[in-house]
Amino acid sequence: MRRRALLLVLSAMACAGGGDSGDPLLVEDQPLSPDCLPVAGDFPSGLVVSQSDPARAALVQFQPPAVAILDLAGERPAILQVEGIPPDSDSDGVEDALRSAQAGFFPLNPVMGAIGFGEPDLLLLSASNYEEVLFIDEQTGGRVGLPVANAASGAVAESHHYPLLPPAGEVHVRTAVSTKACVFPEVPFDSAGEAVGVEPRCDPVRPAFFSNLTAGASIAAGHLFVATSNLRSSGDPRYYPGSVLVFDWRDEVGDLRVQPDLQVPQISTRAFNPTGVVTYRTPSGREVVLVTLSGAIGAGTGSRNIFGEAAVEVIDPRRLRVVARIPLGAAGPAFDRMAIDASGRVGILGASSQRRLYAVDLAALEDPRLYEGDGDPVILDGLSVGFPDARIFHADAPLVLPDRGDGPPDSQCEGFTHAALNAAGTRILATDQCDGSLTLVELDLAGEPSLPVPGDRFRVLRSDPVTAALTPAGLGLKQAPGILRVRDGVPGVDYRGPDAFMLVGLPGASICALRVESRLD
Amino acid sequence: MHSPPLAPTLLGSVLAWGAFSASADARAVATPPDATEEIRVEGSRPEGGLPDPTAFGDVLRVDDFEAEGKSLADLLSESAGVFVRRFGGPGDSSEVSIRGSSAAQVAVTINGVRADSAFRGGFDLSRICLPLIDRVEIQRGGGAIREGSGAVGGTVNLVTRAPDGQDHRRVDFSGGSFDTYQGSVYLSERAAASSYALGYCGFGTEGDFRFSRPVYRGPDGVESGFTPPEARRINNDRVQHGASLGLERSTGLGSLRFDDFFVYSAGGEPGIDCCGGVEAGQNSEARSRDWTNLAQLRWRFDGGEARADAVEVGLHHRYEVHRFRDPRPRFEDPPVDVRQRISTLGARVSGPVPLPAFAQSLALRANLDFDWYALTSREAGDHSRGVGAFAMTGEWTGFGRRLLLAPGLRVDWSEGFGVRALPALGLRVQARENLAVLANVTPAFRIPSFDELFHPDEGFIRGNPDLEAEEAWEFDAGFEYVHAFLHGQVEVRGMLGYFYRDIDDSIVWVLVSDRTLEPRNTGAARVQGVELSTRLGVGDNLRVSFEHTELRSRRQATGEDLAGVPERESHLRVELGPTDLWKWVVETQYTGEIRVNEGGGRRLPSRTVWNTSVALNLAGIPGTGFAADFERFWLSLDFQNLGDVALRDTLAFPQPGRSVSLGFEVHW
Repeated sequence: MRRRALLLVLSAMACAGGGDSGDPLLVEDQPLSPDCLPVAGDFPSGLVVSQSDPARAALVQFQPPAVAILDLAGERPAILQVEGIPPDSDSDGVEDALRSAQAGFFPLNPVMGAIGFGEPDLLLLSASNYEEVLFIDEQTGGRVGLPVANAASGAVAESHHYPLLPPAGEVHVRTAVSTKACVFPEVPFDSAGEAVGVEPRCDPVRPAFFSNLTAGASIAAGHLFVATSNLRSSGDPRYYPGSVLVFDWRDEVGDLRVQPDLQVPQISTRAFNPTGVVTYRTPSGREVVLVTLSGAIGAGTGSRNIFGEAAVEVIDPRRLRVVARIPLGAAGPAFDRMAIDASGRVGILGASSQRRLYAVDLAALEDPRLYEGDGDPVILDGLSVGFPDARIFHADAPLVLPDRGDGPPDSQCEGFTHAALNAAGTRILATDQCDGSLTLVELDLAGEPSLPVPGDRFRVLRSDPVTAALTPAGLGLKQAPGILRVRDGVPGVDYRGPDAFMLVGLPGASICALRVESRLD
Repeated sequence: MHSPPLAPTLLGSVLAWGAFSASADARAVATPPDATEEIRVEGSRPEGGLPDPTAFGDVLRVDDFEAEGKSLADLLSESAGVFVRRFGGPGDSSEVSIRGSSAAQVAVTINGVRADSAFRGGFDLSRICLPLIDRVEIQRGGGAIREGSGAVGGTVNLVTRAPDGQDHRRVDFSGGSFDTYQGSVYLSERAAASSYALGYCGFGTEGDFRFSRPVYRGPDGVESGFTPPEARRINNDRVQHGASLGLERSTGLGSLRFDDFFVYSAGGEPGIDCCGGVEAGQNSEARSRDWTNLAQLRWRFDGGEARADAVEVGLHHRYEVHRFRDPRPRFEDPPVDVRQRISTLGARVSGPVPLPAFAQSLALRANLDFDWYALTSREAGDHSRGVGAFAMTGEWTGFGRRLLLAPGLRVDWSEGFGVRALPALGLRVQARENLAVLANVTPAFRIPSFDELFHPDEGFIRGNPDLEAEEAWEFDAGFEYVHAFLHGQVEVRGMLGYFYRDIDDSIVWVLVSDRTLEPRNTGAARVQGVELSTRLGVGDNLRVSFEHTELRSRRQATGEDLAGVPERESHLRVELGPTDLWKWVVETQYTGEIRVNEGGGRRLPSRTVWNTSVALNLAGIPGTGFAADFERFWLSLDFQNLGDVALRDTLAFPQPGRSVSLGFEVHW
């Protein structure tokens, strides 16, 4: 009897399941070099320097999903605080995966993307997959709750077009606004020319699809603008028409409520794959939203990776329409938001598939005629009568960055560049993920350059290796520099520390400090 | 380009067996049964030891670990110089690394025939059901002379249970944590001049377990982890069936043997622990299914005598099928449905090389190998490759047999990768009766796998048809000792060795652009280390073994560490009790930090894992009734990871915590 009891106990133990690996698995990250701070995961997706305190920055960790607040004052950035993104990222009371499954989608979790300022002290963190824009406190990196509502009754959009926003008529405090939305394209064809079908959950008749790949976000004129890239197929890269979702942000008396705009809940872009979004104020004080359209591109590199035309589209945030387009040709600009010089004259874009930069002359946006009428957007390529060519560097005339002498051949390493401008607006800094270089380009805007700014106002000063090239010979060394940011202020006067900061993807994620203009004495 | 079909090969083998056995039956009338009683056909591998007398390695007999619930991965991880990389719990993939090698740099054979995947390289240890295996031969160091491509870190030969001329039956079953069950049946019988062995093994697991998610700690001491800090492994069920068949027929000319080893496996593929959310980014719907069959037919012409210098002719065929499906589309992509089939048809002839009378102290053996690999894949395309080799191995003894020199030469041809000549030399000096000094200089190489060459261009990942073969050479030296005292009641065996390997053009999947992964030759690297193995036996009641490995690796161009293997690992095993009645085994394994990435900036923590098992042989207890009917009747209880330590050999693949299983094992 005792033996039988023992056997029963042992059987129960055997089938009861195992332990739970109760101890945490502590993974130690050690710096790659004295000027680099390792951060969790690989390839951090975003970095923004504080507007109020240039010695602080917010970095987006890809995995674990989190926002890290950094101190940039020292020779090596230091982490002050890390705030993780929990499974219920938008604080709607239901875990994201479950919530999306309840709404009829696959179980989805947010995948961290770009970060930028929405308002002073408030950061906007874009996340794809679950599709949302998170509200982040610039000081702590924590999420901030804001009143969020679905489309109002009588609006162009209907509440079921936003299945993850609060029910119609209710205002919930949430830490993110869902960008999972029905998109009704103006031109219902994808980047391969195939017709967009009907999405029954959106509308029984009109061609539609659900937005995906939430990209850049920015606030202008009381509205939140969010680009969604709308990838249709990744194996054979095809894109649905691009869209910029428009949410009301603050009403006329300044009260904040995030909800789909009553009249224009979305703006269709003419080119595919909208990525970077930035609010730009012209020297005369006009506010516009600049949307980078990277065009249809693949997952590879080089010119063969680019399948479509790119552009910068200009949205008038007051009239909620695209007023101008600056075509860039088959450029495949990078996904980071446009870098703009301190004077507001020149906008710089990196390249997603080649070692080059593109630039546009923003002085062209001063023309008040752009914002008049309801006609088609003005094409600022020099062919629209009475309007200038706003293109400085584009696909047919790029600013080609020099090959690194000891780098891999072009056939193996065609480039992926990120750009930033120094605080004075006199130098462009550009990293190339492939060959690990940092190129300095002098920008001379002295006098009153003609429009567009002549290309000879840009002069490559030098190109230095800042990491190993992305080749097997560099395995184990710092590789793959990416997003680049520069501190505000005058180096050596306003601060003594490094002036530029770049994200490094391999081996393991890091943020590295650079002294480009802030030389040590 | 067409793969040799499975069915005709099998049919041919069976027909050949039938025809040969018919003629053998006729001759068996005139052959005294005793003449074949002792014959064990195991190729040129001598019973009990490694085929290469100067090589470092171990021979692990599965029956020495009876009733302990061990897997092949468990067994291999107890050997010095060997690191087993596990990608989960029971039924999940695991692979072997020897002396810091990759899995693809270890040649794994079953009964001497290559069993590692020609498609991807490496061998999934989880596909082997240990009760079907008789012993595991681990040879550390370059093994290219015998095995050709891939034997850079070493070789592992799995010898299946084979007809041994005696009737034997064996049954075991165990059940344990994570709803894991395994059972096997084995029987071997002899009939006239023939004997056969038949084994079946089944395995099933629900496989889901809770695991701790990684917490990253930077140089400032700030930690960053996932929320929630734990997750559950999902979609991790698996079912496996394995079978082995051995047929042996003795004749006046020699013997004929047919072996077949079959494995079928199907289950969920949860993928990596990668992302936010309660499911940790795991794939809840992906499934895989694979099966492999390895058939081998060998004639051994030894005139009916168990001679080591017999001529052998062997034919083998291996068929490998993989399928992976993920019904969850990305965007509007079609669901993933990937299939590969690889067929290998090969032949080997080996035999002694006649030498003049004055060269009696030298023994030479020649091998002629040919294999034809054919890949059929909708995604990677259809590809084929022929490889052939002529190899000579020798043993020269002198100075009263105190000195043994083992030279070797292999001339190897691989289609698309040319011809290479590989000379090797081994040395064994019996310095004293109980002390031997060993040293070897061995070459090695590895031809890229089909996947490395032809992985379809999916944008973010692609193969590289321009890959060169990996080339390596290795030196190792050390000594073995054995000492018995207290009238033989205490015996100590040990080995201490040093190894040094230079490898050039090792193939690593690297990011070649920010978004594209591709295999590349990565230049020169160096691995060196020290291995220690000590075994102590005290009477019949205590057996202790201790293995330790120290490893240092550097990439020559950068001086940076290689990733994926710990710098040190130790294993201690204490076994108490008379093995015919009960045993209590306590094991502890220390694994040093594991570099997650090249350069070693990110490291998994070191850990110490404790396991224990107790087993009672009811057949050893007089008066229980079991003794009369059974040779052994074990009841066993096995605990793994007693400390519930969070385990990972790679960052993205969690392993289970504490687990327990209960089982029985019967021999009669």
